[in-house]
Amino acid sequence: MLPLIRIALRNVVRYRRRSLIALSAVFLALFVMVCVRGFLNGVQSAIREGVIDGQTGAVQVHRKGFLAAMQGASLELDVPADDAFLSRIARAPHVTAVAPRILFGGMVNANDRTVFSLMSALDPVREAKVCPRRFDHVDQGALVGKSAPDGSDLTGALLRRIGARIGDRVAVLSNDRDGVLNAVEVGVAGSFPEAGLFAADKKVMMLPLGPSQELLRMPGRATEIAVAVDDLANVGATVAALRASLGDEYEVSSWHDVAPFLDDLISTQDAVLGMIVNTFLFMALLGIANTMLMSVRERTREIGTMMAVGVRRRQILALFLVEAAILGLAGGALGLGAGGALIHHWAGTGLHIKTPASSVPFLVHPFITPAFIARVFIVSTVGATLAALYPALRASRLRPVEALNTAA
Amino acid sequence: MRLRQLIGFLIVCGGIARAGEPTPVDVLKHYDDTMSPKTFDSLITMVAHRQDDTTRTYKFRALKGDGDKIRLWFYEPAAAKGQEMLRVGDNMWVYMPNLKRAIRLASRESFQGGDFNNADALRVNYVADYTPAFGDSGAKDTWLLDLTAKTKDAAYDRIKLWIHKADFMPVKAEYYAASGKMLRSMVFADVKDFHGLKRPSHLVMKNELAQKRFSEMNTLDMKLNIDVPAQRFVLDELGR
Repeated sequence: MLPLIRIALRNVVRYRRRSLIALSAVFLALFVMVCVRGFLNGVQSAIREGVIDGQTGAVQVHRKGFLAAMQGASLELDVPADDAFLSRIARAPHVTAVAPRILFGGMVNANDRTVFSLMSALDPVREAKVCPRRFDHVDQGALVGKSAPDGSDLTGALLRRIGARIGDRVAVLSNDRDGVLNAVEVGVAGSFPEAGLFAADKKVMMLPLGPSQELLRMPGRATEIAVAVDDLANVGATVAALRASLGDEYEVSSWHDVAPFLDDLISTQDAVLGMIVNTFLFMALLGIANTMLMSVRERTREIGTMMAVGVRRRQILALFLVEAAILGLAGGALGLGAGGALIHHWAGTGLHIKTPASSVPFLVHPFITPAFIARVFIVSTVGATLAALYPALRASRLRPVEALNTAA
Repeated sequence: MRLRQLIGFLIVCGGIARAGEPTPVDVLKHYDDTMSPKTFDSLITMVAHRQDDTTRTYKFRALKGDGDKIRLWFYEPAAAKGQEMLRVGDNMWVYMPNLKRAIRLASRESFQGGDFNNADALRVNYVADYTPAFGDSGAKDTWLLDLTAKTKDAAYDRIKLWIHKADFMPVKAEYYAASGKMLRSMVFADVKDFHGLKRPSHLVMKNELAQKRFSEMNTLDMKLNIDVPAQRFVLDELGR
């Protein structure tokens, strides 16, 4: 076997131009694969963290039926938000923080203008521990509850619609838990840019839990308890433990359940990426098959000579397969090396991505997993060997006499 | 020549037949006069039936003056006591006693969390807000009025209204979104005589978007042709 590899290596070096073409095809394919996968990994984890650390938290606790119920009925399905209940949740394994919230629809009014808005009532201190990125986008004024106990943050679009500014007082109007209209006044502490393309994302308000409980006439209550865990890998264990300890009255959901669009988004991206990557690889392997085929034609006399001196057909077959494997191996190693180095560099510096859907750029840290590298490396090497199967078979079936008579 | 005479004859016949039938606008005017007379002072209760099978009861006074103006005073429940609502034309406000100020309301918002919206409760004038046309009511003794909103500020994009031909009494109604989805449906029941005006006293509005939700509105009393000073319908007057 060793002499065979030595001869194959010598052949690869000898037919320099041909080898270079095959090598660069594999190199390019794997380089692109690693870069795209690494970049997408970064984007996906940035989106996932943006949603989990900025909105949902890793785990959520609601009253049973809350997620299935229509928005209008959601205030009736409330949960305690007192210290006793919160510490009951905090005692579950892997839990690092808990934060009560009330999500409701309401109206905000100033200057005789009233605009419907989606309201998130938060406990600012607890919320910052569960969703550290919740307040990232607040770029003007102060955070919820920081400058004043009733200080609230509104999107710029909402402020413009009601003609209010930071420092003004606005009225928030909503139906309470019983349906009766109620209103409270809160201060405008800060503002943040509207997040998305959809109109619903533009009219959003974050206000402290206290005034909201007063408005909705539900003191000591919330509709949602968001829970942070030490590591996203432990979400399943925390969910199971909370389900067991809280019982049937409550439903415990992971971020997979409350943000199913994330899993959909990621799997769609993966499917599209898979198609692109496989096409690249397939074309690179076609390149290998083609160069090997040409090589067999060019080296017919050489093959004839080898056969004439007693080299077996099996050995000829193996020789060409090994040559292809070397090309796949070398091209793959170079491509993975170069791609990996680039991803490593980006991982350190981070890439600022600005999407049309968001006015806030987000930082992407691309990364690549060893498993992906190993898989791609094996696939490219085995693929290159398989691509050479047909040319190698042709070479091994040449008749020595005819082969020797072929004009070089 | 013969053909022209025939056509002329048919047109004349059509005109004679038409003269007895009211137009869609006539029928809608009747509806407005029945459901929202020019001026009135009434006492109303609303019972909101909720998804969890519980009910919430509201009691309020509604005063309507000349020129599409309505003012409401809430008496019950305790949480709503002191609240007032005012409608002048298309503008609506609610006065919140705890803030001591009025806040502008949208016509399509739910009225006190029930299944009527604000414009249903502070209804003034369908003729002004909707273009009516006759549709197929499916019964000989009933008209179907198909109402299309004239502006986006109207409470609904489209309303189907069934009205009894003999006495112009509304029977039922369906309320639609622009998409064609039915949002609410109403049954008009229990016709009573209020100081000479016969009108349904019991309205049941079903929320078609929820399984169990519906609200009932009962008119306990309605005085008509009252003299109300215009001052009662001024924004600054709320809460006084």
